[in-house]
Parts: sequence; structure tokens; C-alpha cells
Amino acid sequence: MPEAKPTVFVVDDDDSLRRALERLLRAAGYAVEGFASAQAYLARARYHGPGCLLLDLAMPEIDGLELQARLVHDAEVLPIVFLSGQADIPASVRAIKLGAVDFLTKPADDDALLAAVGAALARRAEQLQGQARLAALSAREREVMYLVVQGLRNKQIAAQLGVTEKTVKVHRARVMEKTGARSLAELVRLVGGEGMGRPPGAV
Amino acid sequence: MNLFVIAWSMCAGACAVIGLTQFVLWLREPDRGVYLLSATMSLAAAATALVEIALMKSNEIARYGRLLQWENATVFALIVSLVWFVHLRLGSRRRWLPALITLLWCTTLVISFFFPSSIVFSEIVRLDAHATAWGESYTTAVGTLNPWVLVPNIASLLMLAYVADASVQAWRAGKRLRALLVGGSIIVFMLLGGIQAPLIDAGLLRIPYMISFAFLAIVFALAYELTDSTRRASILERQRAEALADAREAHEGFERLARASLLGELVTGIAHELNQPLAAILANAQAAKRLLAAPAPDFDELRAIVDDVVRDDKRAGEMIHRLRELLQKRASQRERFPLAALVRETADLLHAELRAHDIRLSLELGDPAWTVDADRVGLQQVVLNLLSNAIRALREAPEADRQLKLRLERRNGAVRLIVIDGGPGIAPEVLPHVFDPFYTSNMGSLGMGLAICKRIVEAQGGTIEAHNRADGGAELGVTLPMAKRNA
Repeated sequence: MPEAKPTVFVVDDDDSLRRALERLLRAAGYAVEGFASAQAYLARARYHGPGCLLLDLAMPEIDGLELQARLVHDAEVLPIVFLSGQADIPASVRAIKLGAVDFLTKPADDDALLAAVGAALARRAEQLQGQARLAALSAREREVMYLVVQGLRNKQIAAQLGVTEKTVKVHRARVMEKTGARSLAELVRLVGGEGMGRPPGAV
Repeated sequence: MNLFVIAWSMCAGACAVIGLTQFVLWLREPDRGVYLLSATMSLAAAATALVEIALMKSNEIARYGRLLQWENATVFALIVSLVWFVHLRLGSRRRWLPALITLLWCTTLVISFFFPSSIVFSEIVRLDAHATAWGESYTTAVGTLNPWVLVPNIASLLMLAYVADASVQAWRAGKRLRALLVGGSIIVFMLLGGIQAPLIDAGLLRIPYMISFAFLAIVFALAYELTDSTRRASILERQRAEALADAREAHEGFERLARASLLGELVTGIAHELNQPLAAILANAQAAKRLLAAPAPDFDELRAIVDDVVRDDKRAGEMIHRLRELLQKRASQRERFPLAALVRETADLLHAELRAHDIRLSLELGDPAWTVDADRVGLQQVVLNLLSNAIRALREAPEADRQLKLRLERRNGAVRLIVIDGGPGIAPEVLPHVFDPFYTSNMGSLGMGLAICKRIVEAQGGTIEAHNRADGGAELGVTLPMAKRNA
């Protein structure tokens, strides 16, 4: 299925290095899009498919960490693999805390680079899967799910939605079934990965 | 043979030498009163010795009496300076005792000049001439003792007590060597001089006065102390020299450290700059490996990879070259040459490069007689650097803008070389840093090159500046002092 070929977005201000990374990733079988700056990447239309970001840490104006922070803020975040000129521990800690998949030091060996990209793509696939499952929920099931995730008991949910507790139980069971979540924790993770706070209209 | 005369003269000489030495020391350190006091007492002892010679050779009663008065005067000077010397040197607490001794001796002196035969005799009856075994004659006096002679004798006893007390105090205070030397020598002096003189006065001892000889003990003590302090001074001097050497070594170490840290900075900068091409070469090589593993390798892509690898390798090499240039200690040689010729020559070196990038070069080199006294090779490096920077800026520019202008201008006693390119100019955030050696930007190693230029130009007494032109493009200006005619 050629349309499922994941895209790696390479953002690096060094033309030569970016070209080389693009070639390597293409040779490894990925679709690649290169950007010479964070601004150029931000200007690109939102991407909803499978993919990840390979991001240079040190760039003029908007650097890698700042770009990551902006993307997280906009809840539009592909999994990120960072590339850095030197082993910068504080920067790597910050990046990982904000959800980066890996933090590599240049020059990075292709095995390490491709493994990191692979991990990032796997995380993206998981994200997309979760999104698809959540998309299958009905509006009422969605409402119940968000309240459940917020830690409310069935009785409280029933009172809030003005339905019986039994109805809530049915919805809840269907949510677990459709999302494939086996536990509340898994459900929380799924919703969290979606990067949304609360459903529209929820009190 | 006049053994007495010889011995007393030697004694006087010894005392005088020590006295003069102490006096010179006092001149050098006028705030140290002990030197003046020891000088006074030593010189007084020398004078006493001379008076004693005169006494032993005197054969006239009136003269003998006058000489005794003078001996009292010299001993007065000796004792008074000695007692205050002890006070300062041994630091005794009792001030009244030396004051009393001084008072008693002042009284003695006044009384002594009041009586014709001094404070010693009320009347000198006769002078006895004696002969020694070696045939030398000397005189002693016989007469009625003056009751006032008790005053100096009491003073001598007080002096003995005072010195003993001060010595014990100094010993207890830990100044043992000084207590022994000063106190011991003075006690010896007081015992010999203070006992012998009354005995001679009383006619019990029929020998010449030997007060000055008694003082020799003090002379030796002072001489010892003097050489000892000189030795200590030389030790101090050696320690000072050693401390200075240590300080110098520390300073050199610091300089080494500073150089090392500059080197460290360089290495950090260069490592960062080298990392990019190295990372690119690695990624390209590994991409190529994967491409080659394919059943039908993409040769166009492989060719592009090889081109990039070559370029990146050159880029890395250039950085190392520039680093070496910056670190190199090249002796600069000044010579007189026309600037226009140098600029033209250097531009010729880049002719092929200019044509390859379709860059139009225009030269306005003014008067060929404008000469400078400067390091020719260094300046050529500067011009080369400025030109290659301009070419780099123009390579990516639209063809219509690919203009490079070199102009020489005369400006009150200086020549100014202006390099103008029609490129995109220097980014505003980079402009303030173009001459910083380690400012890294997308301009690659440009910063390092301009830092070298600045160093070279300033070493010739010139200046270099960079700014962007209103009509676009960068302008680099190098101003050098014009060579003086017939200089």
C-alpha cells in the first residue's frame, strides 16, 4: 500500500547535512520532506498522516526546542527525533519531557538514526490508531468517555448528563469496546495522546 | 716599645669602626634610634680610649686633672647612650631607672668640670711614673679622693642592676639571644669598667684606666649582631627573590592556562563547525551504501552524493586551514609597496573563480603611487579573504546583481581599500559580530576569516570596518596609513 508510506520531515538549516539526511531516509524507504528553517516547516499545511519529525536543535531564530514547544502548544505534534551538534543534557531532558522520542548527537550513525525514526513512526501509528478508534464513538459515548477520564464515578456522570446510572454503564462498556482499551489507565493514555482537554460543550 | 699605645689605639679603632658602621645604618634608617645610640656609645668608647692614652702618658698634674674631666665627659656620653640603648633594645618596662642613671651622670659631668681634678680627686698630690717589663712608661695619679665620686659609682651600680633586670625580662619574653648578647656584654663591661675605675682612682690598682677596653665586649656583641642581621637580611633577600621567582612562574602558568583556554575555545568552535560537514559526509556515505545495495542503483543520486561529500570535505579542510592560519605565528615583514599593484595582483588570482560565477569585477585603483609600509603577504591574505567572502555572497545572488567593485581612495594621509559586492548584504544580527573569531552563523567560517583580517590590518596600524549599503550589498573598508615620502 504505497499511500501508507510514512513521511519524515527533516528540519535543518545546514543545506548539505539536510540533503544527506533526506537521501539516507529515502534510501531507507521513507518519503522525505526537507525544510531549511522552523518557519518553513510551520508554514507547511498540517499533516495528518503517518510520519515524524527529524529536528535540528541549533537553528537561527526559532531553534528545535522552540519549534517543539510551539507544536505541542498547538496540539499538532508529530513524534520528534532531535539531532544536536553536541550532547546537550539540559536540552535533551527538556526535549524528552516534552515528548521527544529520541535525542541524537551528530554525526549520528544510520542504525541509530533509523531506529529512532522507526520508534517515532511507531508512536505515530499508535496515535493514529487511537484517533481512529475515538472517531468511531458516538457523541454521547464521547461525552461519557471524557467524564470517565476526568475520574468521575458512574453515579456522578449519570447526574451530570441527566441519565440513569445503568445507561452510563452501557455507554462506558461500549467506549471500552470500541477503543479497545482494557483499563481506565489505557483509556486515559489514549485520550491524552489525542492531546485534547475536554469535549466541546462539556461543563 | 709602646704596647699600651698600640693596644689602646687598636681598641679606639675597633670602637670607631663599629660606631661609624652603626652611624651609617642610622643614616639609612633614621627612624631606628638604637643605631644612633650604639653609634654614639661606640664613638664615645673610641674617644675614651684616646683620652686614656693621653692620661697614661701625662706627666703634669694640671693636665692630668683636665684629662680626667674629659674622660668623664666621654664616659658620660658612653653610659647615657648605653643605658637608653638597653632600654630600647631589651624593651624594659622601667623608664625611671635609665632616667635616674642619666640624671646622676649629668650631675657627675657638671661636678667634674667644677673641680680642677675632676670628680675623681679633690686634689692630685703627685703623679707616679711606672715602667713595664717591656720598658714602656705610664703614669698613675695619687691624691685625695673626691667624695662626689660616689655619684658615678652609685650610677654604675644602678646601671648593673638595671641591665641585669632588663636582660632577665628580655630572656623571659623569649628574646634570649638578644638578652644574652646585649645584657651579657654590658654586664661584662660594667663589671670590668665599673670596678676597675674606682680601684684605680683609689690607688689600689696601679695600672692605666681600661674603661675603653671593657667596652670591647660590647663592640664584639654589636659586631656579631650586625653581621647576623646582615645574614638575616640576605636570607630575607633570597626568600624575596624566591617568592618573586614563584610569582613569575605562577604568572607564566597563568598565561599558559589563558593560551590553553583560548585554544579550548578554538577547539569548541572548530569542533562545532567541523561537525556539520562530518555529519553530512557520514549520512551521505551511509545513504550511498544503501543505494548501492539496491538491484538498480540510482547513479544520478550517487553522483550527487559524491559531489556533496567532496564539497563537505573541502569545507572541513578549509576550516582546519583557517584555524592553522589563525594560530600560526608568522613573522610579519614590513616593506614599502604600492597598494594598487597588490590589489590588482590578488584580484587576478581569483580571475577564474570570478568568471565561473559570472561575477563582473570593476577596479578603480586611483593613483599607482599610493604606497604603504606594511606586511605585504599579510595584506594579500586580507584582500584575498575579502574577495572570497564577496564571491561567496554573490554566488547565490541574481545574475544582474553579481557585481564586485574594488576601489582605492585617498583620505588625509591614509589609503582606503573598499570592497563592494552587490550580494544580499550581511544579516543585521550577524553584522555586529563579523569580526568575532568564533561567531558561528550560516556564513560558515566567514567570521574566522574576518577576524584574521582584522588582526593583520590592525598590526599594520590600520582599521577595518563592515557595513551594508543602502542600495543593497556589503561594503568592507580597510584603511591603512600612507607611507611617508622619502622616509
